[in-house]
Amino acid sequence: MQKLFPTQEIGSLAKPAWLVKGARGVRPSPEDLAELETWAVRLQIEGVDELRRLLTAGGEPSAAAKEAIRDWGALFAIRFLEAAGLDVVYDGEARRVEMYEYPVRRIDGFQFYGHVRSFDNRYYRKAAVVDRVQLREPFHLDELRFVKRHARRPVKVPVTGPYTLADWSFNEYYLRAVGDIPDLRRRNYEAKRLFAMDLATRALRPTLLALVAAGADWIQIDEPAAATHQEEVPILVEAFNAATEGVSARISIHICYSNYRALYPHILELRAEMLTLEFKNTGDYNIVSLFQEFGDRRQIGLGVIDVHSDVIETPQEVKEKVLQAAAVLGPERIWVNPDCGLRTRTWDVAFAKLQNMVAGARLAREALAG
Amino acid sequence: MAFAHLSGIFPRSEELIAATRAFERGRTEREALQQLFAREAQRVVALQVEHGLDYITDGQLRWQDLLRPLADELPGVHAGPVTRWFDNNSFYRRPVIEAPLQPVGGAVLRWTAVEALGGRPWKAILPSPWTFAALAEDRAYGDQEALLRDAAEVLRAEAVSLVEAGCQYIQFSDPVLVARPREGALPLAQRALARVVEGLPVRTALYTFFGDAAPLLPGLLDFPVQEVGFDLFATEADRLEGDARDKVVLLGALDGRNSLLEEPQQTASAVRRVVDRLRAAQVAVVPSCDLEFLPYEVAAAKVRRLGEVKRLVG
Repeated sequence: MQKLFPTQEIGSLAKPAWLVKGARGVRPSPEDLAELETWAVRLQIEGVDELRRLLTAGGEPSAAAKEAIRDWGALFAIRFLEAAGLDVVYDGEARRVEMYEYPVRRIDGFQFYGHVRSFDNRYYRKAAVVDRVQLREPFHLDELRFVKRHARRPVKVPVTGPYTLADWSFNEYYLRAVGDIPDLRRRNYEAKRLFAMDLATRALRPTLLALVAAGADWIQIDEPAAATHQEEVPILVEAFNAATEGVSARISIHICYSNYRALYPHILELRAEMLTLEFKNTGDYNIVSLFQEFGDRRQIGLGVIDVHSDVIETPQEVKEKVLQAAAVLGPERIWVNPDCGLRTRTWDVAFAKLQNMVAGARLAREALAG
Repeated sequence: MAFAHLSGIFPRSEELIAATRAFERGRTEREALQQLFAREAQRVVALQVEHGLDYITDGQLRWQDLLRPLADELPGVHAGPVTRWFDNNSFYRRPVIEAPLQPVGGAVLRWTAVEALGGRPWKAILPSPWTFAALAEDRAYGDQEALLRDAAEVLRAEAVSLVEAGCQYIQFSDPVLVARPREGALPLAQRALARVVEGLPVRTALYTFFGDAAPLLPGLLDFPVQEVGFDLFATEADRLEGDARDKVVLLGALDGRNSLLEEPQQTASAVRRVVDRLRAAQVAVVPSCDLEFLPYEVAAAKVRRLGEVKRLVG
C-alpha cells in the first residue's frame, strides 16, 4: 500500500546562472561558479571538475559541450528534488526555454511574429498557427531518458497540454478552415476546437506514446489555461482525452491560477487519475469541497506552497492544510505539492519550501497514525 | 455613414520594447526613451491618419494597462499585485486604494502624447467608473456605492482636463460590465457614468469587450452617451435586441486578440447584419479590444483593414 500524503514537484525550477550562461556560451562569473560549488557540496554531486572545465574553457563551446552543460543542469535539479525529500521527481525542466515556446518550436505549422505584452514592460513571443499542425518529431524523449538514467526516485514527466498551446497561440489556419460562420464568437469557438484537437491528435498523442515507449510511467499534462474561458472547458476535456487515448501511463493534469468551479461538471469526463491544483495561493482550501460536491473520486495533488512568495511555509502549516483536506476527502487520495513550478524562487528558498513541505506531509501522516 | 477608430492601447514596436527593457536595466537614458516614445506616438498617429480613421488616439504607448495612469497618479492609490487581465494570458497591476479617492484631473493627460496628435480629432480612452471600481482593491471604503461615486468624480475630473486640452471624443472602456455580469449592475454603472459625462461638450462612448453584451441590451443603449459598443467576438450577435436609432454603435469587428487579418468583405457583412438588427443610425468599426495583444506589425495591418472595412460599410 502506498504511504499516505506522498510528495511531488510540479514542474520548473529556476535555472542556475552557470547553466543559463554556459548553455549560451557565456563564461559564468566567479559568483556563479561559487554557487555551483555550494550546491554541488550540498547535493553531494561528484565530478564537477569536468563541469567547471566546460564552463571556463573559453571560446565558443561546441554543441556537444553545451549539451553536456545542460546534462549537468538536469542532474543538479534531479538531485535537488531528491535531497529535498520528494517522492516523485523530474529535472526541473532544466532544458526547456519555457512551457509554451519549447513545444511550439518542435511542431510545424507555427510562425512567430513578434512580442506581446505579459505585463508592465515584460513581453513574450507568441506564435500564430498558419498551417495545419504537424509534429516534427516527438519531444522530451532524450530529457526523459536522461532523468530515468540518473533519478533515484520515481519519475513524472510534465508536458504542456493541447488546450493551453492552442489558447496561447494566435489562430489563423483553423479560422480559415472553419469557413464563413456569420457569428464571430461561434466561429472562434469552432476554430479553437479544431486547433486543440489537431494539437491533441497530431502532436501531443504521438509524443505521449513515444514517451511511454521511452519508459515514462507517469505523465503530467500542464493546462494552466484550462479555466480561463469557461465556455471552452468542453474543448479542454475533448482534447485532453484525445491526446491521452491509448497512452498506457498514469496521467495527471496540472491546472493553476484558475476558478476551479468553472471546470465543473465537464472536467468529470476528463480521463486523468489525478488533478494537481493550486490551493495555497488562493488561500481557499474550501475549493477541496468541490471534489465532494461533484462526487469527483480522483486523486488530488494539493498545492500547499505559494510559489510567488519567499515566505517559507512551516511544516506545521503544511500539516494543517493537508489534514484539513483529508478531513473532507479522506487521506488516501491526497498528494502534496507546491501550487505550481518554483521557477520564480531562488534555489535556497525553493529548497527550504520543499523540505518543509515534505516535513509537513510527514507530520500529517504521523498525526493520522496516532 | 461609417466611422472607424481605435478602441484601446496600441502595441509598442519591437524597437520601443527593446528600449523600455534597456532603460529598466540602466542601459538607456530616460531622455532617449522619452524621445523614442514621442516619435513612436507620431508614427501611430500617422498610421491612423493614413488609413482614414476618424478620431485619432496617441496609441497610449506609455500605458502598461488601462488602469495604470490612475493607479500611479492618484493620491492614496498605488499599483498593486500582478493580476490576470480577464481571460487573457496577460496581466495588469491591480490599483490598491488606501485612502478615499480625490479627483485631481490631469493624470491621464500627463500620460498622453498630445503633441503627436497635431490638432487632429483626438480620441481619449478612460476606464469607466464601474470597471475602475470593480478592478481596484478597496482598502478605504468597504462600501461599493461610495467607492463608485468617488470613482466617478475622479474620472469626471480626468475627462474635464482632457476636454480642456482639446480632446473631442472620450471612450469609457467597460469590460467588467459584460465579462463579469452581475444582477443590478446596469443602473449603478449607468448612474456613475452619467455623473462623469454630465455636461461634457464632447462626444462620449461606452465600449464593452471580453464578454457577451447581448444579455445587457436594450438597457445598454440607454446609457447617457452618444455611442455604445460591443465586442463581436464575445457577443452572440444574433441575440442582440434593441433600437439604436439615436446612437452610433461601435462594433468591435476586427479581432484584437488574433493575428489573422480579417477578410474586409466578410467583416463588412458582419457589421451590416448588426446595424440592420439594431436599426442603428450610424456605425463605427473598431478593433474588438486593445490591439496590444498583437505584435506591432500585425496591429498596423489591422489598422489598414479597419480603414478598408469602413469604406466597404460606407
